[in-house]
Parts: sequence; C-alpha cells; structure tokens
Amino acid sequence: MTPTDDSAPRPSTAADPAHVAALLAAALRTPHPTGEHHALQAFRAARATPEADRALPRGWDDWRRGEGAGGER
Amino acid sequence: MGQGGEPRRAHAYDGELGAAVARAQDGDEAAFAVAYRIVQPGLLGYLRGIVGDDAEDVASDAWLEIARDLGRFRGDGAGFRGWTATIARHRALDHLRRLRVRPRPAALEPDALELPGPHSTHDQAEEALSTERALALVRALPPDQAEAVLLRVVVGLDGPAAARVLGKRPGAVRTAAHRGLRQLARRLAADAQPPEEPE
Repeated sequence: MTPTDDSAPRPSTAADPAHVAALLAAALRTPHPTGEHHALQAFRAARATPEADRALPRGWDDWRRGEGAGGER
Repeated sequence: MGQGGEPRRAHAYDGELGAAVARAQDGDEAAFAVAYRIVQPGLLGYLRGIVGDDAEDVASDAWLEIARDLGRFRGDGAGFRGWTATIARHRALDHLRRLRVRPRPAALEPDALELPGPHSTHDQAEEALSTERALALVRALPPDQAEAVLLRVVVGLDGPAAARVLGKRPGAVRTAAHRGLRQLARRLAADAQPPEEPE
C-alpha cells in the first residue's frame, strides 16, 4: 500500500473522516456482484436493435450538456 | 483541474475502464463485461444507500439503459462512472416514487440490523463495518449528505462529477460530503466508547 492509495483502510482513529470513508467503501462496495449475465444479455439485445429504435434514458441529455441530472423531480 | 477548482482525481481503474468502454462501443462483449465488473460494485453500493434491498433490481434496470445507449456515450472512464451513476440515480428515484404510490414496509428496518451491543470494542468499531451497519449510518444522514458521501466514497466520483450527477454545484456537494463524513466519524467514535461502569 502506498501513501497515496486512498482506497484502502489505513491505520487511523475512528474520528478521522478519511478512515471512515475507507471503511464505508469497504463495507458497501460489492467485490463480486451478481447480475453480469443479465447485463450481457442487455448488451446483446441492444446490439441487435437498430440505434434509431432506442429511446434515450432520462437525464442523458443533461449529462451531455454538462448540466447535471437536474435534481429530483 | 475540474470544475469548481478541485483537482480531478483519477480513479485507479479509470484508464482500463475507458479502454473497455471504447471497445464495448465497437461491439466487444468481453469489454462490456470488464466495464461492468469495474463499475457495478460501486454502483450497487450507491443504490443500496438509496433503495436498500431493491438495489440489485434497480441496478438491473439501469444496466438495460446503459447497454441500450452505450453507443451514444462520449467520454472517458471517469465520465462513464458519472454517466452510469446518473442513469442509476434516475432509476432509483423512479423506484422510490413507485413505492410512495404503493407504500410498503421500509427496505431497511433498523430493528433488524446487527447493531453493535454494549460489549462492542473500539477495535470492532474501527476495523470493520458490516454492510448493514454502514447502510444504517449512511441512511441516518440528511439525504443530500448521504448521496454526496455515497457518490464520492463508494462510486468513486470526483467532486465535479458527483455534482453533475446530483445537479448541484461542486462546492455544495463537497461540503455535503465533508459534513456527512464528519458526522459518521463522530457516530463511530461515540459507538466505540466503552460503556460506563455502574456505580
């Protein structure tokens, strides 16, 4: 582990926000999530569908313009 | 330098992610799987903080959209993280709206959590957090702080990217994340205090 590696827990106190961030990341990130098969099926289906027939997801245009997601609606 | 004067922090896998996304856009299914494996752990953690046990279903819906519109995405690995987080957030908000229309018990019942008892030691509190405990802590924060913390810490977005996902100014998101982490640190420190001996 290098001093610049901020992704792993490091010796510190519980009151250190950086240490809390490392603990949270370790607790909430799922190393081997299920669902990859489903995502790959979606990828194959998308490849089989002409792009013109696909609707844009909500928020996409905001992201492209760099204006963010527009907050909760 | 990113927007708001904050240096852009490169994520460890952003180079690999950007290359995988580019190949996936050319139809490489294996590259799409690589992108999925890099992004999904953080995305799922973010969604858990918003919708609890329904996170996998919401993530599944998000990946349908991500796969469908991959060809329209323009950007690098860090941009892909932000783009996917934006899509996932919209799906999560849709999900929560449906739940408000059709109320049901909360996804996360505090009483069912494995909260540390009076025998907990400082080491236990400091060295490891269970997923349930981490979720309970995050969900006890004000919503703006919780989302800022999740996007910065779990998804791995930098301040400007998290701000774009939330539709807020980078400074506001940076402040919310900082306050959220400080609050969590205080709570963990308080949990780690040994119980007072009865006199």
